[in-house]
Amino acid sequence: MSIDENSTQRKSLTVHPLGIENLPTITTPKQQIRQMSEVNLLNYSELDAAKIIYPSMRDIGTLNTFRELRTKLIQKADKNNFTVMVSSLASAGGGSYVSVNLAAAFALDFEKTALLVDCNHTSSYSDKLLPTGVDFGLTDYLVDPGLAVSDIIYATGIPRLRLTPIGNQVSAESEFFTSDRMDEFMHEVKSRYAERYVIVDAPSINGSPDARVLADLCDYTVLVVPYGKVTKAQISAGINSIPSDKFAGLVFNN
Amino acid sequence: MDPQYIQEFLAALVREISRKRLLAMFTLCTASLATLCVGLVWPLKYETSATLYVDEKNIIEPLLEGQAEVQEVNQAAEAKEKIYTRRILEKVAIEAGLIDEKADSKELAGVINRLSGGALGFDTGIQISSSGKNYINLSYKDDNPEVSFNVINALIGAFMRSIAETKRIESRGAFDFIESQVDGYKQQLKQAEERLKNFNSDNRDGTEEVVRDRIAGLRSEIEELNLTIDGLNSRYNTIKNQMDNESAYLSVRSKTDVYRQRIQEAQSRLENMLISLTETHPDVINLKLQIEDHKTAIKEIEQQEASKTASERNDQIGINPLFEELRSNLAETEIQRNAATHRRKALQRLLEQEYQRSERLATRQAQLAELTRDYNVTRELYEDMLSRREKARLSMTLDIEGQGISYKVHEPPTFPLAPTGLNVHHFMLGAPLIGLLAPIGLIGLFIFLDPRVRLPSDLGMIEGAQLLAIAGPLKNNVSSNSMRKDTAIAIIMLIASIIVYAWITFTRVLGAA
Repeated sequence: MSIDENSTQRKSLTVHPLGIENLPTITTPKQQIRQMSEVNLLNYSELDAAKIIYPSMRDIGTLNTFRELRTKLIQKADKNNFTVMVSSLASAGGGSYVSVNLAAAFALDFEKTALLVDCNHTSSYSDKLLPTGVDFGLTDYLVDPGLAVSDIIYATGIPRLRLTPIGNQVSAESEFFTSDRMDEFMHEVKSRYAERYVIVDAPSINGSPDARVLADLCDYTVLVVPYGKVTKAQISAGINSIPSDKFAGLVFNN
Repeated sequence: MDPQYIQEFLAALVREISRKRLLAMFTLCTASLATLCVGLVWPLKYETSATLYVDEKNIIEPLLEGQAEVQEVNQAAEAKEKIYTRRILEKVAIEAGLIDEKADSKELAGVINRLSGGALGFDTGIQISSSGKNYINLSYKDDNPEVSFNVINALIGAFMRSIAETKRIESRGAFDFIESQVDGYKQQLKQAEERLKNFNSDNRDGTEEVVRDRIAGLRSEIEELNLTIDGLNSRYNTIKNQMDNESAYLSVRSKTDVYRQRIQEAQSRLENMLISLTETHPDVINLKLQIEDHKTAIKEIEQQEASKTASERNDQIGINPLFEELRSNLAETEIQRNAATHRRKALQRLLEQEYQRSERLATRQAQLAELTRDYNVTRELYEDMLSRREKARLSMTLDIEGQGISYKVHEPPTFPLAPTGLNVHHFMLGAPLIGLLAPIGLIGLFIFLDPRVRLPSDLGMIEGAQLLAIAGPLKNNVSSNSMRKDTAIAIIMLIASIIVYAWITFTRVLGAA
């Protein structure tokens, strides 16, 4: 199993304070994580502009919010790694914002790694995190048996945060996610590292069936309540469309 | 309310205002300037007011306590009722010069509507309020101070006249009514008196007492007679017995008794002799012979007696004086007894009559009581009515002379020199405040009414909802272009409206003042 999930696309020019570069291969999980290759790290102003949390940021409140959210989910899972789907209750409701920052919060921990699986084609974070563009994404993997899981996992400008972009096949998404290959993919990415947490950025749960399909594949579901966009009835409907054992809770996105 | 909720609500308010900042600023400027413009065209109102004093305790009242009823009028409520009548309002309208007397009914109705407040409701027309217990405040607002003053002036005049008139009519009516009642009772009393008189003249049985005495006298007399008769009866019987014993043996006893006495005397003398003498003593033998002779004589007499006829014997009896005495006594007793018995019968008949009379008397007595009661009741009512009539006469006199009027003008109306109520200065000062409050109020209302969830606290009400985190907007010091543009526009709007506000204030408000 290769530790390099993607070939380095940019040489690191700026030295990130947490940046840890190519270390020798060792077999413990911590060492595995340390040995993960990293691309050019994003600097603070880029992270600020992308609305992604990082340590020592000025808005401590938001940083702590996502850390707490992360901790709550870990407690819920009894410290095992898990897959969690993040979906908004309305389109453009901040589902991607919450999922990226939740993934970033997992990645803050030196001993954990996060994989953000972008299943939401309206999300713009893939472009921000992977500014150079990608060849293949999740949908390509699902239709092309020739692609391996490692081909669609990319290192981002944030340490220990990996990303699977949506890919180029944008039509009829629900058909992709119901396939066995999707199931296999989820299983594989979760079991690859003991300390890997998989965050699935799903489309709005009230907008398409995709979110419900993805909820079945994930261990937990977090629903994002956007400010001033949904009624209580819509929130109830969203909660009821997910199996109660998989529903982790709501995140109110101001 | 939960402080958490209020905090969240305020945060949402700030957020919505910043989101709709241009609209909010526009509302602010528009509301301020609109308020100022309303102030410019706001009509000035001149108010005249007057206070009436309600004299609950009239000065005359203590003097005539219990003698005259002084009419009491229930203050503000009644004053209101009276003032709002068409009659008074019509007079006020004419006197205040709002219309002339020849105006048609439509015009009149319009003016009356204006005076009474009409469909416009509160704070227009004539206002009546009671201040304190005894004071009634009348006020009227009008664009024209002169009209306002005239209306209140005319109103007080018309009202006072109307009150006096009403009281006069009421007192007069009360007096007339009582007087007619007095006449009625007088007739009734006369009839009752007549009936009583007739009854008394018909009734000659005397009083119950007399009858009772008479009955008692008769009864005791009868009892006495009974005793007398009993006595006479026993006397009669005794005499009769004596007579029976006397008549049969009267003659025989007179002759034989002599001999028997002699025999007894001889016997006792013989016994005495025998004590001292022997049987053969001549005296003893002589005495024995005498006794024998006497016995023979008795036998002879008894034989003669037995051979005699009854008539012979009677002749011998008739001359018995004791028997005669007894017989005359018996006859007398019988006569007395018969007389007493007759007397008793007569008395018993009389007693019977007295009983009947007493029964008649009882019936009469009931009739008399009824008639008397009628009479008394009628008389009492009549006397009461008489005194009432006198009270009513006094009340009427009081009202005619104007002494009973319980309203006085406490504070006469004064000509209003300055307008009352809101004027342009109030609007000038209030405009910025209203401008500030308008957008905040509107957006707050919007947040409150909009069903979409804006406050995290609202999620607690959803079943099964567990709030994991509240992700605030990330503060990243990046201000967008649109924000800068909006701020610029908002400042321009604000400055423009301040200039307009200042211009209006200086030229129209302060300049005019």
